[in-house]
Amino acid sequence: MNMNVKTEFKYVGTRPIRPDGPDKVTGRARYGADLNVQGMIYGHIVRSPHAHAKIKSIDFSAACKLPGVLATMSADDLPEPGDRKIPGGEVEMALKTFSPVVMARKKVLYHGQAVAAVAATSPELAAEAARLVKVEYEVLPHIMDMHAAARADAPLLHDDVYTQGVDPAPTTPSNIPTQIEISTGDISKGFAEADLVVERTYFVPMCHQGYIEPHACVVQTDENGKVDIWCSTQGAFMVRTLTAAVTGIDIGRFKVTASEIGGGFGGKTTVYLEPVAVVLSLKSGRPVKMVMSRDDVFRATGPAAAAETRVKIGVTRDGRITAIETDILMDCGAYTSHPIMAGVLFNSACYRCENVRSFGREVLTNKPRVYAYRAPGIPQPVVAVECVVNEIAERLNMDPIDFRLLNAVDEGDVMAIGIPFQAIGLKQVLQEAKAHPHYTAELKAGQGRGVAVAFWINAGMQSSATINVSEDGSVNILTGNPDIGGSRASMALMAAEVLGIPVETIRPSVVDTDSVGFCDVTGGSRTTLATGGAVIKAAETLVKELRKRAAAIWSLDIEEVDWTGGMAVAKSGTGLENMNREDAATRGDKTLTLADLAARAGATGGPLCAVASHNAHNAAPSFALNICDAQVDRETGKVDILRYTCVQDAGKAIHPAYVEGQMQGGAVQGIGWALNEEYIFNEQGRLDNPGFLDYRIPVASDLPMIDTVIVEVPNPLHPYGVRGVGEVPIAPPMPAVVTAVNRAAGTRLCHLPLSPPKLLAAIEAAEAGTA
Amino acid sequence: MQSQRKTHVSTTVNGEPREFLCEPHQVLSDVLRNTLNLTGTKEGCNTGDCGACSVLLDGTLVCSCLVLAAEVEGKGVVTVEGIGEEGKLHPIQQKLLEHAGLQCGICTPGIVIASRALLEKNPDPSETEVRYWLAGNLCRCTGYDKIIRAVLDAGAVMRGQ
Amino acid sequence: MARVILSADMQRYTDGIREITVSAGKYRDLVTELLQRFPGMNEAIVAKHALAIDGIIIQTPLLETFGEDSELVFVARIAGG
Ligand code: FES
Ligand code: FES
Repeated sequence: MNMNVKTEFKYVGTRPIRPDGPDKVTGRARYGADLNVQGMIYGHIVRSPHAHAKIKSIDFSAACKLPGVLATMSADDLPEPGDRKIPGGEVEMALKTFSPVVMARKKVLYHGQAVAAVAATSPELAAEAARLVKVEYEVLPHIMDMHAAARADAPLLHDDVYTQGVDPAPTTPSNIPTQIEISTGDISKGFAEADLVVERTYFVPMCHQGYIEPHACVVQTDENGKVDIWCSTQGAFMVRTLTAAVTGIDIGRFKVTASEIGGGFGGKTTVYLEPVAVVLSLKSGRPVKMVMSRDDVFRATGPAAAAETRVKIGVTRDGRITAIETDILMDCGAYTSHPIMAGVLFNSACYRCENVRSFGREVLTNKPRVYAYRAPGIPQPVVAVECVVNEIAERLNMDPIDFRLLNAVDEGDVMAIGIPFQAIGLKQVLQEAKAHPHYTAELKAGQGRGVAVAFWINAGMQSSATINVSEDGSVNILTGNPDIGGSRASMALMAAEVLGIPVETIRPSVVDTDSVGFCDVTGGSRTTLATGGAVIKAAETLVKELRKRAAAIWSLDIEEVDWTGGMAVAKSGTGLENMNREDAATRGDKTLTLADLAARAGATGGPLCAVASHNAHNAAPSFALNICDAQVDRETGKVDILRYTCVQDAGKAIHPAYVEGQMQGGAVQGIGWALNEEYIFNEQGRLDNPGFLDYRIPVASDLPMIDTVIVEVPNPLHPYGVRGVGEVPIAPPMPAVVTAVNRAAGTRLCHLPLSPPKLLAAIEAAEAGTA
Repeated sequence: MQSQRKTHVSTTVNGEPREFLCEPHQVLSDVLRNTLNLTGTKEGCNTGDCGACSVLLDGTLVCSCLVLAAEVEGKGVVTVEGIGEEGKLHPIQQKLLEHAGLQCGICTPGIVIASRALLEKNPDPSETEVRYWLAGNLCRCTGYDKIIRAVLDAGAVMRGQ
Repeated sequence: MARVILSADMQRYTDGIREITVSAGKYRDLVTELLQRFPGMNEAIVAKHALAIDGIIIQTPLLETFGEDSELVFVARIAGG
């Protein structure tokens, strides 16, 4: 099924300024909280002060007495979720796993969970009214530790969760919604063949995506029942689907407009405020604005799962991996969500190994329901696998990259789940890293270096695109995927390539759900591949139409007309890619430019437009490698990242600057997760660090430049060779950093984050041990 | 709370005289965004921790979410909307675009303002100086690399190099 | 005959059988064949999976066809971020 992958490009691979750039550097771009409309009122959410409790009653009477309070709501205003399943983009979701996150029903399962909401004429008044809502709770024992929650006698969060994936099916409920195991070969035989077996357990804490823009929306409803939503989201169509499901209102009544989005990283692939604002707006007859505080964002939106991973790897003396066994326990917060799947399936996908056993369980605790965060489910177990691989290489006296090269998967190798790899770039990534000056740069005493690689599957899924040509030949592209990191620029580049016109003449827009066909979310590293695929398809359709129009004008057959260099050429000068008009004229060929054809569109059949509907089945995996140099202050335990390099197989990089940006941003998020970021809950089950002061994400002065090397092994299934780049960058940093820090400090810490107090204690222990 | 008397404030915003009424507890970022409709100033935390709301107050870099609106009486405020010349981007804005120093762009207005304050004080900063100066402006998307390069490059342009 | 590898979840309904061959050439016929062969399985269980056909993962395989010597792998659907 390999297709012809284009390798020579005129526009793709260049670095034009993004079309939405000027609006974003001048402050004109409008984000979620930037819209104010006539007659707008403000919603405020009442949140649970308990980590686990029954809701006995909700009394709005005092709140309603305040003049200016115009509406109230609770789960009573929403349909019972029952067992309804909602088709999400990639996986089906049970309504009961996210409707109560929007508004709790009968029970609260984490501190900060939404319990009720009010709307009033000013934000202050709404907040005051929310304080007057009287909620009566019956407090239940909360359970924060995932090991405790996994025990058979643990207090239950839900009485209807029965572990899936166990035989025979359990007859009693538990806090373990999912268990999954995959295996191939014979794991005991694999370990028996090994000369060296290393087994370790690593813990990775719950952390937050940390997007700078809090969730925000404005909802307007009208007399005809139309519901307009403006919000910050990774997918307007997803908001439409999920809000319809949560509110029980028909999809056909919604129009959702995605604002510019101030970061998401997977955290804006669901709804929190939108259904609440819809109900408040319908009840009050007024537009309703809702904006989360930073505190709300940390406490009540979906962080990434915590996980403990035990990994055991066996190798022969000459460095061949004979067995890999992993066992993951993942803390998913209060409702089922399934990041465990990817963790179990792909934690050691970088390595060729005949004997693999991978086992995982998801556990529910009284914490916020986790949601996606870049390559969800993968970074947590990959820390364990990669740190152990580094330890093994060290014990075998092998270079860690040579060790990986010896065991790296390549085209034709089969993953543990049975899927063979197409062309992939892991070996090239490893070779590039080995050749990079960083890898051989000398380290001083007290400094350490770590490397790590990782795999991510990447998604395809559904997208649509529309291309309209104006009378002057300028081109508008409409898609439905919020532009999180420069995707408009990529869309314009790919359309320019097909149409053969300068990228600056193309105007790409992200439009609302009424204005373009369905698009799955901006997520899963899919936008350039799938929405870009739709753009390419639409542009190709348009080119065909343009050739047809030119043929009609010249009274030729369409086959006698070529499209090259942005114009139709009669009696093709074959092989002349991207020729210009003068060349064609010199050769005596007749030409019609896009502008010529646009001017005569009316006479040749009407406006020039093309639509494409696309379900991308051609996603291909990405591999990424990081090299990290670190130094540890032995007095304070503070870590300095001295030098950092990222190498990644991006497939064809459409706009290389934004590919580098994904690599750098993902690396720094991973560095933060390794060193500082963690959710800290207190005895009462409350998050103790719900602000950027105490939940410390990396700042500019924490970091060096982040060097990047893009490897381009084309995806054989995509016309331009695109893979997907956005997610895999977050997987290698944690093990690279942990290895570097442990080497620098002479420690063997396996419990993240490697915060200064923990490091200090470990350094002291290590010194005591050697003294 | 709703019946308190509003304060009348006269100030200069981006070089133009402006007047507004505000509640005594209202912060500057709120008034800029929701009263004066200057939504270029962003809010990521409202506790002074993210820098998205950075503005210049009489030339000094401040978090506008920590300044009471009433405090700007008689002072001059510069927001991201007032940074470029009419119809032309400021070199910092231009360089951020050329270096792809923004992904989602929510931190960008704050970065533009903070960098301008830096380059005015220190036209030729070192990489480390830029990093420490911008340490109060969180960016979750870029890993800062391209932002730092853009600011250094903008400094060079402004020095006429 | 196409070769089919069943997911861990599906193997729970096949007495642990991981690999089978089928005569089907279309996804729909493949499902019918599976259900006939393994009465414990049902359509909902199959539908929870994506199908990889010769290494290409297809989330929504309803209309897919494949060849005599194709390699088919049922795989749990994965959500990205
Ligand atoms: S909003 Fe002012 S510092 Fe974050
Ligand atoms: S570009 Fe998104 S926070 Fe900086």
